[in-house]
Amino acid sequence: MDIIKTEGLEYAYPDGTQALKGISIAIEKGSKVALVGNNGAGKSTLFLHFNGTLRPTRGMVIIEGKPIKYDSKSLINLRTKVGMVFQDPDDQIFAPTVKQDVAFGPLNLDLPRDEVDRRVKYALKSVGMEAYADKPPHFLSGGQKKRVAIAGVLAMEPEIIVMDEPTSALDPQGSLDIIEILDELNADGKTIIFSTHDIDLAAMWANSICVLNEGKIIKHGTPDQIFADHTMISETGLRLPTFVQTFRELKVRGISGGDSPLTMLNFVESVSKPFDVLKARCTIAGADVCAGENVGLIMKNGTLCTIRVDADLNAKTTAFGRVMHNAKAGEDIVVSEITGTITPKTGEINIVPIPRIIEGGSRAVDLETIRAVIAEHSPHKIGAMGTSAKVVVRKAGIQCDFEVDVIQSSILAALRGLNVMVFATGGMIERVIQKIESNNKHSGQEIKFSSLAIQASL
Amino acid sequence: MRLFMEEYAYSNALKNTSVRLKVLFVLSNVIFGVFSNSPIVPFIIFCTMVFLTIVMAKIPARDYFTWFSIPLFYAIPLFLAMIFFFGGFEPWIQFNLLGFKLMMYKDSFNNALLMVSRVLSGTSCLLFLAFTTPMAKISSALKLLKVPDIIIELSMLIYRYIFVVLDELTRMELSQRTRLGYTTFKKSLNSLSLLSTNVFIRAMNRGEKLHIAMESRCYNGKIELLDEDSIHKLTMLALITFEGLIFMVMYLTKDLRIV
Repeated sequence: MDIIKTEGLEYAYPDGTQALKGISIAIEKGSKVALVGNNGAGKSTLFLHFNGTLRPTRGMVIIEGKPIKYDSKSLINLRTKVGMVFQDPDDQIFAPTVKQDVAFGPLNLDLPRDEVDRRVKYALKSVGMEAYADKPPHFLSGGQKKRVAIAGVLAMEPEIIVMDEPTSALDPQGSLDIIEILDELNADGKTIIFSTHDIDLAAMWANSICVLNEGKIIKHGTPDQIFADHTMISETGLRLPTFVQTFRELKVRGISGGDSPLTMLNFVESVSKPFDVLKARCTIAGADVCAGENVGLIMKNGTLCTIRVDADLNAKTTAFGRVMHNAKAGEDIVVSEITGTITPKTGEINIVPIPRIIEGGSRAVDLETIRAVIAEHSPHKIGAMGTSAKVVVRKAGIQCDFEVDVIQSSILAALRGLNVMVFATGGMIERVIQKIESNNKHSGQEIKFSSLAIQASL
Repeated sequence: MRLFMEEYAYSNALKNTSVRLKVLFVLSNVIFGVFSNSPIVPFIIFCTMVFLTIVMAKIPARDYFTWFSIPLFYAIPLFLAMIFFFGGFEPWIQFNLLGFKLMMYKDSFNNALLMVSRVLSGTSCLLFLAFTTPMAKISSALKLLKVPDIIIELSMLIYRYIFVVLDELTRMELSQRTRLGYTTFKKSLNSLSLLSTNVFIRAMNRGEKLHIAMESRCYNGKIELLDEDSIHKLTMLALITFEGLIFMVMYLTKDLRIV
């Protein structure tokens, strides 16, 4: 179902600039839509139509099947549905403390005080800023201000979140954090519409991309469709994602194969495909090895295999190969030119569900159980997805390997033969499962996964 | 952009004391300090305030007295001028300084002492409030004390945007400086005028953007504030006792003269 639709939207600024020239776009409920385009393409102007701040000179905006009305009561209703996060948080955060700013929206809705308190708490927790509730905004860093701005909008409990350049002016970690927060909100069913100049982010993260140029929509489709159209990309002054560019260069040299990749996972797949029988990753058991040495491979359960240096024809040896690079005992190593039969073993992914913030969050979990689960499975890598899962892991004093881009990192690790445990919250669990299943279908390498239910202590 | 006084306001040991009591305490002490006829009361208030700020709220004495030196900078010269040059009726001490005859009068000495003690008590009261109370809480206290909304809302917005605009100002000034905008007096004047126009325009733009952002969160012309302030009974009792004692001392010392 389309949650937002515009029909022939046109808008001219009072000075006569025609900013939008007939925009028709349909956005599906629960999707992540990226708007890309040059400066001045009309992205921000289009956004201001979504919550009724600007009134189109022609055409209309339809929310959940009903055209927007511009009387004050309908506008209030609209703005609780469509939350707008502005590019510069300093344009949005005005109150002397973080908490008062987040409470601004709910107080305007004349909600009872305990409901306001609940929403403020929930919003601040969702963005991980509850420790800063009483701080003044000018004590915060850029990334923290951005989170507060998101919290201010979340407290209105909107169904659609519109964000103008969510990652602009943030450091790499800060941008990843914001994307994680948005991802979690999306997993909880919120529709996210954002504009960005970060092509890699749009390619990797959005469900659909909409290319805007000079007030018109040039193309709207899935990332695959958009980046397959190279002429359109160059004509609108955009560029291809880094992975696609690298892939094309490798492909003409005969190194990569398969479809054009948009994520690291697809990219790794495209590079390793031609080799997957010839190459294996192993752990060295005995002495150090040098590149070029011939080794015997001994199959071992759990890990892929162990290498014997200067292999004599032992009964246990099942295959031979050549070491690709120098390594010390105990290290992982790549062996190529394998003769004999080996099947690369993939790791397992165990998913541990953690209650959402609304369901009690980290307080509803017994930390001892968490530690016990980890001790029992002793995974090679640990990941946490979602705010309350991260809090639980931190509280339990567990060193987390993946905190951002968890699904992809976990699958990559599992493909290397490592066992991964992922703590995930709410809708994120289904995402992990979906992604692993689609990867299993795609790559032909089976990653086993299971969901470990832990008992809630409440 | 940070002010160190602000940081203490958010982190001192008295930050959770009821802000209404703090404001009442400071207001009544300022009034008692000003209306007292002898320097004793202002002096007691001064000592109490210094004790509360440094010992109770744990503000480092160095930072505290750095701020205190500002009013002393004009209070001390004024004190000297008052005892020597303002004249009076009761001569007290006379001495020669390099051939100049200087006369000190009893009444002018008393007046000067009273003036200085009032400066000390007033300043210590305001510094106590400034060092121990965040701005956010002051606005909610003003609301509880029934100050008109428009004044509170304006002061809140102004307070927030002081930091934003100041930040912008420093950046613009730096960019002018890197392009040699302040090398001569004439250039400085020119750059400064450009800077001030620009800051003004930027502030206007900010205002417009803020309005849009506030409307997106259902702004209806009135800023509601979350305010919570719980009054501790013991603190209140201590306040009443203290003010009662001060009032008694003020009554007892109303005719007291130091010399």
